[in-house]
Amino acid sequence: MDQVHVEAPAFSARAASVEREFYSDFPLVLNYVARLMDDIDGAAAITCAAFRQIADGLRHRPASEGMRRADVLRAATELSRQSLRPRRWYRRRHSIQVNLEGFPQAEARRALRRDTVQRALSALPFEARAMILLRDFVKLSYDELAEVVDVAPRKLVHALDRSRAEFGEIYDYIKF
Amino acid sequence: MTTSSFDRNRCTRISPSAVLDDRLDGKDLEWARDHLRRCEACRERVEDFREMLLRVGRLPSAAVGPAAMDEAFALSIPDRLRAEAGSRSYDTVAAAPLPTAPPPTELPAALRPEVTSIPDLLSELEREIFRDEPVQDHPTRLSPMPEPLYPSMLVPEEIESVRPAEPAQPMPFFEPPPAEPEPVEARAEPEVAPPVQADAVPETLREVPIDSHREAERNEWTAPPESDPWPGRPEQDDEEPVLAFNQDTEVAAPIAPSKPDTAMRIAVGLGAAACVLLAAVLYEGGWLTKIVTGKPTAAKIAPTASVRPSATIRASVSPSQSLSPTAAPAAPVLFTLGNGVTGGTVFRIRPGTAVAGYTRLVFDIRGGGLPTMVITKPDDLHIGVTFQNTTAAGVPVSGIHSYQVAGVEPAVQQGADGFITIDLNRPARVTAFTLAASGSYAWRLVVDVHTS
Repeated sequence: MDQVHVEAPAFSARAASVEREFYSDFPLVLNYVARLMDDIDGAAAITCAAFRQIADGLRHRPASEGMRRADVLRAATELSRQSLRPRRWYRRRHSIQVNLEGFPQAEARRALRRDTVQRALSALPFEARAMILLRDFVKLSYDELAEVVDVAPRKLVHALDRSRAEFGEIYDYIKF
Repeated sequence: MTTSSFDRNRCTRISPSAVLDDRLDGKDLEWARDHLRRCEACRERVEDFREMLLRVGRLPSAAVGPAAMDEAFALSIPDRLRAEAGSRSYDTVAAAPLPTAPPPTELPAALRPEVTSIPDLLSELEREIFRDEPVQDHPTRLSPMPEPLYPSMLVPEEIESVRPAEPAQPMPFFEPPPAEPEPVEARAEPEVAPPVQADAVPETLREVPIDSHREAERNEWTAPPESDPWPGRPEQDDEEPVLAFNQDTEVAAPIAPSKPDTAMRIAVGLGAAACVLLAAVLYEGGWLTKIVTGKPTAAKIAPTASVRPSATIRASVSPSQSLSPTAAPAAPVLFTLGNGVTGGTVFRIRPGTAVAGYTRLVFDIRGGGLPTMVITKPDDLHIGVTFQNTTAAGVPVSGIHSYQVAGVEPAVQQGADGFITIDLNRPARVTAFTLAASGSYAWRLVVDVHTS
């Protein structure tokens, strides 16, 4: 065979796994957070924080385990909730901004603002919004969704029913 | 009826999410299929849900460039893991570790200069942001997570041993707050009077040095509870933690007393009083202005009486009006829309959007097409919409109000024409357009009332 063997640098299996999972999941989680918070500028900081939280927790877990997407999404959801929680003015937290190179594009920012579906989503309560986005946008399975939103799987169907019905009503109201 | 229970005339026995997400099987699935064949309401509901599901699923995603990904990776993944992972170029091909390769801990740091040179930007950013803020404002770790996922990370020695060359910059965003009293006591120990002195001083006199230095209080709190002279101490613990998240002793040493809290309350009270005064002045001013210039009750009647079909046509020919003191001036025509279809009916008015900058009113018109519609603006606080040769009387107008729109008056039928007056809260800019009937939607006139 003519293949030339290239020796790979040393790395641990977990580090490689973490890197692979990060590069595959980061755009999805980032877009999820942007839709969840209705703020594409603040989404990068939340997403980075969520990944950081999970990556930090890895050292206490077995070496065979990598970053699970459900964990990252759960952390991102919780951080988004905390970020959106209203605060009294003298305890208001500064908005955290992480500027990633070339993100977000101005067009994406405009599209998020103009989107009727997004406007309807942003009018929903946080839990309902998270549930709809996780199921229909991120396309999580019911088991993963139950883990992320901390709702028993047998109750998820009804919770999703309520959320989707409310979403549909709002969308019907603001559309033409 | 064995198949359906009705809630407000709508069957709700089928859960659309269960159907769409394939959560049914066996007999339930058969029953649901059978029910859906027979129940039109459920079928419609499932279709509505499917439509919404597809809409959310088709939402576009913002692209993240490779440079942004690399930057985010450097910000998100701890240096330890990044150092182990190396560069991304080989990882994407998933090369297996070779037996000849040294273990990661033995790899010299100089082989990966890109890793050691990357500063922890997120840590620095957050340190800067939260420099003067207490710990409780930081996002904390998830409380309901299982314990193995987020144990308390109080063992920084392990990280330091892996990357000793890198300056330790704990990230406030992710690190749980450290146990409060431990570092303080460790710091306060050298400053507290030695136990020999404490024994020599009588019990009552030991309270004296407490107000001179906060650290001394902390140390005395660890004494037996009967000697605790500060009953109000737990409130202070609730207010602020003793140490900052990074356990910086210089930052933690001065703890704010309760004095600024009183000042804050006074400031809040004064600010609230000022706001109330300002609001009152503004309200009174606006009311006075409205009385002097608008006379809303009189102005409401004027356009209704003055606009006639012939007047609107004349106005469109010569929009520049000549004001005469004797006759009521014709309202200036803003738009003339429609195709001249007759015999239609305006059957609904609905606010079409929730955007803050303007209020959108949608007039649904039943009929074979769009009638001629003339939009006039008799004064700053009223808009008149004339639907020529169209019935508009009886269209529900209650409950339509917003920042721009004070209300919609009941439609007036003037011969063949229907006339609707929109009352404005404040002077506004008006735009309008029409939409053809499509699907379940009727012909529509859309009037946008913008904040001018």
